[in-house]
Amino acid sequence: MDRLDKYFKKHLTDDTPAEDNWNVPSEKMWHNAKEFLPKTEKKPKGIFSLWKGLISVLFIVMGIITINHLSNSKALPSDNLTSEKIDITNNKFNIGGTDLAQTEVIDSPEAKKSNIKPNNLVPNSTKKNDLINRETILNKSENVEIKPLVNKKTNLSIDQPTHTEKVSKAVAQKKSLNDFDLQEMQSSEFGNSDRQLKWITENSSTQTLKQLDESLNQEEIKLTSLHKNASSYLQLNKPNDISSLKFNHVNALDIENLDLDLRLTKNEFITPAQAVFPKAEWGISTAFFLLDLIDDGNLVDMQDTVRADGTYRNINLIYQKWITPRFSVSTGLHVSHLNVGIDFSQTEILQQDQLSQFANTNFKNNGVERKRADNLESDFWNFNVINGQDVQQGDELRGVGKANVDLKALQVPFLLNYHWIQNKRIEWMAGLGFTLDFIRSFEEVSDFELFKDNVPVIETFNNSRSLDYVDVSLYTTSSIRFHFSKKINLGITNRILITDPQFSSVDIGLFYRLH
Amino acid sequence: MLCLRYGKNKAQAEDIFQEGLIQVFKDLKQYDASKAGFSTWSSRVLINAALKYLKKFNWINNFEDLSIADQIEDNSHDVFDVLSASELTFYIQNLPLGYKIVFNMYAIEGYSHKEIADTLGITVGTSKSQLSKARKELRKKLESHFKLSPHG
Repeated sequence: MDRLDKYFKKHLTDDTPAEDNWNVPSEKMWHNAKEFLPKTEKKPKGIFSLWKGLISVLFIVMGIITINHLSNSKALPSDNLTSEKIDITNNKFNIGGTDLAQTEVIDSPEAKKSNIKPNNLVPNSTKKNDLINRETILNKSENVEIKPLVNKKTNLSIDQPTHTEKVSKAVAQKKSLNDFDLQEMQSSEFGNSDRQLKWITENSSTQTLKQLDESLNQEEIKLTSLHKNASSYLQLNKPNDISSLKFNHVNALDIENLDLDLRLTKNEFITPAQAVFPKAEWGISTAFFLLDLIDDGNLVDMQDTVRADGTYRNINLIYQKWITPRFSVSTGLHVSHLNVGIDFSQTEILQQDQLSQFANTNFKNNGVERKRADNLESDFWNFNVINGQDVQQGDELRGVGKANVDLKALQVPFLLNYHWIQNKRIEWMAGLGFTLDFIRSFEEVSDFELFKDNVPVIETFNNSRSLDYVDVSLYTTSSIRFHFSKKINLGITNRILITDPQFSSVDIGLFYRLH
Repeated sequence: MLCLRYGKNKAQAEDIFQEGLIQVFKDLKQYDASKAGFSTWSSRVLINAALKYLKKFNWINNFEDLSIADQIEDNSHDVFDVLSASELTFYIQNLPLGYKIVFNMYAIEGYSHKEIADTLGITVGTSKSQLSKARKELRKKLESHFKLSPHG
């Protein structure tokens, strides 16, 4: 650097505005610049930030509720358990000192001597405690035997729903929620309130059966069916009609001279509760791109920059129908509008296939052969090489320009979902499926320039096109539902597009469940 | 001031500044304070904007390739100690485009010939020759100024 350079540098690096403002931009320039400066509104980003906050708060609240619910369930005070409830720790129990072991029909001499009068059979409420024991054990474990007893004068017992309910709840609370399966949940507090875990001991007296039927109706108990093993002893000819109950074995014996001791296991006698599950569900949700939630969509490399700024609006209507307690199918309609503006500056080594794809005959004139002259891309990227410029395969070209993509999409999803209920409030779902996408797109490229060694090689390029097409997208979902009530729930769904992972999204929505 | 040196007049300088300003705002997210001061970084952005702007005038053809740049004499004279910044800027503005860009980048902004060559897509020799010619031209103008002015 010689003295001239130093002199100029010394005098020309002071940016202090001169008195006559010769080195200050005019007001007009500021005014013009303002129009071109990036807008500071950034409304979409504000919305995203708001949603980020809301989603975070929702997750925190749901986490607290879940933890609270779990800890309450595990911390059941033992003082609340009666002596009957404590009996659940044993796999055996006695009724009147009798060790109830296996299912059998005993035809003993004592029995033959007894005088059973069917018409004398009445519900025996004094056996309530025994029944509580039985029900308690019933709820404790699948392996525990239930021993309804038909014996001499105590032939009929009906469990009292109020006590049963009480004990069931206590047992359920004492058990870990993880062991609290769907069936039990649905039958106790989450699903159908009709109690189906019933047993009945009876002989073939029609009159007594009618009484029993009345009692059952009063207690709002339904007897829907009998287990297939129990049907060897009992037969229910009409569903839910106790009067149609027939006691096969007794009918085959001389009941007048029989002292009957019938012992049945739970599995033999009691119909397993029918799994109860929702019928269908309607919902409305909106989606956010995962990329928007994670970063601003800008990719900056050493040389290359791609800045994307976009808005995404979406609303989804969802219909879901259960086919089993655990599985459902869903469909609906997703309506989306995506607009993305992209500023890019990228350097690439020109490849033959790129030339074939993008270049028009001008490149060919410059010595590069095109392989696919008539494809869509080449029709679109129909730019002109500046006279005198030469482009060859292997050249390093820098492309600078702007692009705008406007997509409107109608999507019809088809999903198979698996449901897992964690507890009364929290439900998890996982789904796999696809959407049929009906898309209308508008693409525009403007101010596109190609530079080779910083020299422009094409005329500034502008073009746009509209396309209508149908596509298929495969995706998986994972979802959490928070149930405000049996019918209303809030869902957050993570939708991963297998075909285009960058367009994966998070849905948040409200759902109404039909039972 | 930077834009004034690259433009031919104030109107051009304002155009350059406007585009540079927009670029600064757009690139603001890329600014890394740990790598350079903001003024250094924004100057670079403005220079790039100026070069982009000047491409419209096909400045690539303003560079005469001279591989023996050092053949040009570089005689310094201490005759210009009283010129104002606006006068100096005026002389730079009126240099041929190729001279002006290289002189600004080398003498004022502190780029090396290698950096200039890489940025402009020219050879190092060309950069040197443009600088020498720019200096010679400036000296000629300054000497002329002093001959004509009362200071001389």
